[in-house]
Amino acid sequence: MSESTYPLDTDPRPGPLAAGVSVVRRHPLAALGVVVALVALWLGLREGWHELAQSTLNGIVAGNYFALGAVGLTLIFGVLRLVNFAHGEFLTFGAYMLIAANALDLPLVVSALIGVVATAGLALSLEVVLWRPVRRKRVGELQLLLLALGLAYVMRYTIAFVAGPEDRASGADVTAGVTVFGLRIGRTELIVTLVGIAAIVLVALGLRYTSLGRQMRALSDSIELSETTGIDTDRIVLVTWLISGGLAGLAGIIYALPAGTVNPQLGFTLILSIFAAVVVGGIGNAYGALAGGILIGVAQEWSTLVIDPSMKVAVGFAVLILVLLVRPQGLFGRARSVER
Amino acid sequence: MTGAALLGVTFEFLTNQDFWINVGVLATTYGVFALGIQLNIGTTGIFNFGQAGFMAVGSYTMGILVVKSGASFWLAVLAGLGTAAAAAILVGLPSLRLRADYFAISTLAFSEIVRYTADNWDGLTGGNLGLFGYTDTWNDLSARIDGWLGHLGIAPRFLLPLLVVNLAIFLVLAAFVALLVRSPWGRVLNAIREDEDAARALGKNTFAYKLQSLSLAAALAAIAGYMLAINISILSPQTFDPILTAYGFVIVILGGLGSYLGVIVGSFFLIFMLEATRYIDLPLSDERVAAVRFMIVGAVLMLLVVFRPQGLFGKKEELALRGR
Amino acid sequence: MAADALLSVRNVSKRFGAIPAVDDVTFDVAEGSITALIGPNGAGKSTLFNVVTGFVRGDSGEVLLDGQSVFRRPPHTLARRGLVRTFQLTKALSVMSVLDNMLLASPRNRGERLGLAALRPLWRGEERRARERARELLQVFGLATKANDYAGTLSGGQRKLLELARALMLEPRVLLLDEPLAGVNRTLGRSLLEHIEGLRAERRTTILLVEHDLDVVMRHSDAIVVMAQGRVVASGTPAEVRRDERVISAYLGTVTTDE
Repeated sequence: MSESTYPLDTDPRPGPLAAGVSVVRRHPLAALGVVVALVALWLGLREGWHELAQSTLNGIVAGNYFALGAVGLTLIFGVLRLVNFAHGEFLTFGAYMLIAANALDLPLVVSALIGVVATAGLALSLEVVLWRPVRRKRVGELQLLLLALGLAYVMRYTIAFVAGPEDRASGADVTAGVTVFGLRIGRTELIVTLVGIAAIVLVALGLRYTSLGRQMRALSDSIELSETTGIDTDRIVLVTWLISGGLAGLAGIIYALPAGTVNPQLGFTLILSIFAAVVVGGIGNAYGALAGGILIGVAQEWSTLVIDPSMKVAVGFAVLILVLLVRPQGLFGRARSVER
Repeated sequence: MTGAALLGVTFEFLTNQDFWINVGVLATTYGVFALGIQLNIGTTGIFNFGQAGFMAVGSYTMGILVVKSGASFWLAVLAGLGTAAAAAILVGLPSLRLRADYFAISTLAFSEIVRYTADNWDGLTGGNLGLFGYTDTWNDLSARIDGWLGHLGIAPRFLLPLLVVNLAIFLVLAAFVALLVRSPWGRVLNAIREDEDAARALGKNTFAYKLQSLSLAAALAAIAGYMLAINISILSPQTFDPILTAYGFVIVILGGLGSYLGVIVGSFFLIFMLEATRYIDLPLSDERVAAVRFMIVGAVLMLLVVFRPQGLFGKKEELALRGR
Repeated sequence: MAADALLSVRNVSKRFGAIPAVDDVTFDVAEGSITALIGPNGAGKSTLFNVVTGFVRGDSGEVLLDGQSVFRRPPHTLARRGLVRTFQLTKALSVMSVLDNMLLASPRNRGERLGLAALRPLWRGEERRARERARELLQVFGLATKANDYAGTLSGGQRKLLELARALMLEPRVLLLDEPLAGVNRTLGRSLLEHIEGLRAERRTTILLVEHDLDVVMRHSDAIVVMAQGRVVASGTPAEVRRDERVISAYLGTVTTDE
């Protein structure tokens, strides 16, 4: 069977739960909309509409950095067929670069910029030093996975070694709050969320309307096809890493500033939710990653209305597993075929 | 002059009996754990990143039954094997149909869900503070072993009985799994790793076999969990961190994919390295030393994968032939 | 329809998205015959093959093996019932020995069950018998000397032979060969054809094969089914099909590549 972006080993079959619910297969967005509406209705009636609205806002704030992290991860998968288990460490790195720049007494915006650029640079360096040579060697799938896993540990603990394992202040004002439409949001939170949304919009537009974006999407569809049509795959790969790293660094910074503190485990605590976002949206699909990020963020925040808030990350995993059961290709993934 | 003295001080631990006993106890524990990972990735070709979760399920089942329900230790041990295997089936049923990296993500997610649940369900698991009080049966057994050793002229030493028991369990299990893998059942697993469609075309229900492989690995993880639980006398969620699964993978890659002798050698090698870094007197804070240890694990994994993917006992020709 | 049809394909359809790869295909394969499935590239032959053998889930229709439904059954069930397939890109298990490849295919080995696997005495006998059968088959196919070599060291042609020999370990009633002669030189091709015809003669194995070499097909098959654009365009004996205008236009309508 030829390879595809499709997560199943064989021909797309309905997941066990969906076997009787073929509607979900054919109209995933509609089905999702219905489910979300029903859940929202239930929560609103049970806990109060104001609480629902507040937690939805919180969910969008969280979904923001999930989405930025997820886009980078999914783009790299699309272009390289690599599930980058070390992606979470880019978020950590970005946050720590922010702190390092803060130590130089630079204005926060400049520090943030430095963090983003530094992370993009790191991603680029890793491609040149590690991923490209290893690809030339044609290592197997397992090897790549383990390489990424090992890299994650090296990155995470190098940061811990250099910067120390304890919490550090991210340098933003975390106490000032603003009320928007009767809902509370931190001032810093509001600013970074707006920045994040702007970044997301830019990415979405870039993918759709620039030639680079089109080439990235073409490459994501089929690397063999792209090579025959003369797209410079090496250059695209480099740019994809830049974007992946930059967005991840931004995500880390957007998480860290309102949170107030960072520690070396930052990336790891977020990465599984980011994976969930990627899978939910459909791996390889950038728009899916954005939608998946918001979805996971909102799902996690909504869950805090009814269960212990410390379990909310587990809720993200539960959504991941549910999606794998019902529609493994995610919201926007396509069922691929072998046709002779 | 001071240099030599410094050297004497920093490597003194190598002559310390307790150091070696500790290495032995941990190596056998992680070795049993890694047997399951080898069965999954080296023999069957499934990427089980949730082994730490199965370990937790088995261990906590045992601990909870003994401490909260007053069950007999041996019954609880059996029950833990059952729940671990059941968890494997529960996780495997939906996710084994998926592609390798998706399966990896699912099992990792499962492992973390277990850890989160253990952390938050205080009433059942003792949460963050831990679960303890299940070691009575072991303490009796340990005292008796001390007695036997005494008859042989060996002075009692802390953890020595555990080393003896662990070593026996590890070697027996390693031999048992190696035997299974050489059987027709194992042949099917090897075929699944090589080319699952070929195996299906030859009449094998590959899904069932993969599920069996996962369940057996989960049971092995549970046994390793018991060994660990008895060693540290307390069960807490942070013990079952995914880094354990990473250790397991390092051991398997180090020893060579598919080699069970390799698991034995690899586990001793890795644990020796990890424990040695703990005992060496470095002018660094404790946390930084811990960070270095993890960095080493990650770096070793990366280097192995790139420069010696067949590990110590893997065959290079086999590696070249894979996927041909 | 035909009384002696061992394998019946009835109104089988499969679409991928909007594209109907297989569109309402119906034909019979008579027992003990060699039936060839031909058609230009993209005709849907391999998809149909995959649907019949359970590797792709058909949308609708029915497939009957000796009267029993085998539609949408998993491939391993079909193999056990005697519906065995080979692959165009041979699936020799490279890291296993040739002999192990054959032993893997032995249909009834208790040692394959987890509960019994650790107890060697329980399956030693069956294993020995399987080994003997395997060696016999390897002898027939000229691979006996390679029994203990890694299958990955075999040449392409030897792998085709192994694929066929391995399929025979399953004692198939219907053998579905996916382009058995693809990429194979003339001598080997002749040898393979001899083996295939031998199967029909000696064991009354029913054979359905997908093949591009029209010359071979015309000379060696008892019946031919022609597909184009997902549909059956014609079927019958080689003589009938050769003269059929629809077949000619189906082929002329596309560029055929010759090996």
